[in-house]
Amino acid sequence: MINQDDHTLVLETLQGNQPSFGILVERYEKKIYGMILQMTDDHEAARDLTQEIFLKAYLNLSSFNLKHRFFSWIYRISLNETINYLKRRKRFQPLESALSIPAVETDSIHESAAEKKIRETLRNLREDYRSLILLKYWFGLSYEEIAETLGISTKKVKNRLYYARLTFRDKLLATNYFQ
Amino acid sequence: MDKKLIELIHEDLEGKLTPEEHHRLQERLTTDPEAATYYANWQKLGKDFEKSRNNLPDLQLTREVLHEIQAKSDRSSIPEAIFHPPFWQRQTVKFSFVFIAGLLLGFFVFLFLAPDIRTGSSHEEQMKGTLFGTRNTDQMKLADNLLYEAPGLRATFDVRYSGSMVEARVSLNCQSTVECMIDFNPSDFQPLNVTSANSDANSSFTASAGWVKMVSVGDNEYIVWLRNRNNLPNQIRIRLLSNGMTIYQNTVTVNKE
Repeated sequence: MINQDDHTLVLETLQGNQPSFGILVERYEKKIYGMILQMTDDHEAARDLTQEIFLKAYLNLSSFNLKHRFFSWIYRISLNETINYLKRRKRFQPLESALSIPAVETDSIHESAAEKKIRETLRNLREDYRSLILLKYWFGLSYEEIAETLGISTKKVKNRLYYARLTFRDKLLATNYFQ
Repeated sequence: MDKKLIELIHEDLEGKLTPEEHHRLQERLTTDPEAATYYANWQKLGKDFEKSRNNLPDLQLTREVLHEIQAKSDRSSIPEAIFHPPFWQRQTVKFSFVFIAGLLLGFFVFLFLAPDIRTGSSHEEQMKGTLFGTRNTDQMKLADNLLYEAPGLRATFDVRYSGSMVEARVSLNCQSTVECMIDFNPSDFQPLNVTSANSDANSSFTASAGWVKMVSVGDNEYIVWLRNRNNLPNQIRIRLLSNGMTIYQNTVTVNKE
């Protein structure tokens, strides 16, 4: 059952078989959670958001176009939901600062300084560049798959990714990440 | 570093280059320190991304997500697959098509009935009588209305115009043969048509470039159409002749304004 392709699992879910959706959750939860973590630097938020994304995906599964690939659809939802979350968080940050609420940090999980630098640099990138870098290097998607996920042409993906890579590397150089 | 080299480096890092291409690139990197640094940087980044992915804890969200789904499902029904019918079978498309067809039909019906609406008379009413009475000249401007009466002879001339079109209606009621001549300058008018609208065998008409001649005995009606070549106020002359002698003559100016 684990080896079933995404489309079969989607169709089975639509027929009321919830465990099939469970397999899809198992298949993508880690990647999506990791991507959100890269963007938010908040494990709790990343976990909650991942759960919300799958719930949202399930409730909107009927609108999923079977011509497309499931992962590109769920990655797109993930990106949009995370960007919305970051906007909301930005709005409430001054209040949190005023109340001296410490931000939930990632201390509970062991991670290297290099990983932290990557994460911080990613957060300082332009929104579209960040999405492209994550789709390419976190999810490991091809140019065509990124184009499908973002709904733009492959040519645009290649062109934008070129500048995104240069900017990302330049910012990382400034943090002495490569030394 | 040029864009092409950067693309090549990333393709190599993704393992998309052939062994030959890979070898060529590695050789080039030995002579290009900037490109070599770029290559090393992205190699390190790739490894760190992979390390991050591998370091992630197991979430095991499945149970929680399915539990949430179950809770939601108890409140509402499971999502149903939406069937998207073909374009022409969609209700909106059907309604739009019928609506547009209705509008077009309405428009053509309006065009068909519009003249009657404007003149305020029914089509049926206009069809009554002879051709002489059926043509509605209400929309034409009156140039002049002439009447000649003598014992045994009554003649009326109704001359109207609209744009370059001039229409002269001649009604002759005579006991003996009478000739009616309509003369005009060929450079001002062009004779288009003469119709004997209501005549008997004893009447005839002829026309040339500068005149129209009607010979009549009894009750006869004619319609003469001329075209005013320059739309200027031009004159036509109307004469009645009996036995070669002019017994009446008058001139009418059209396009007066």
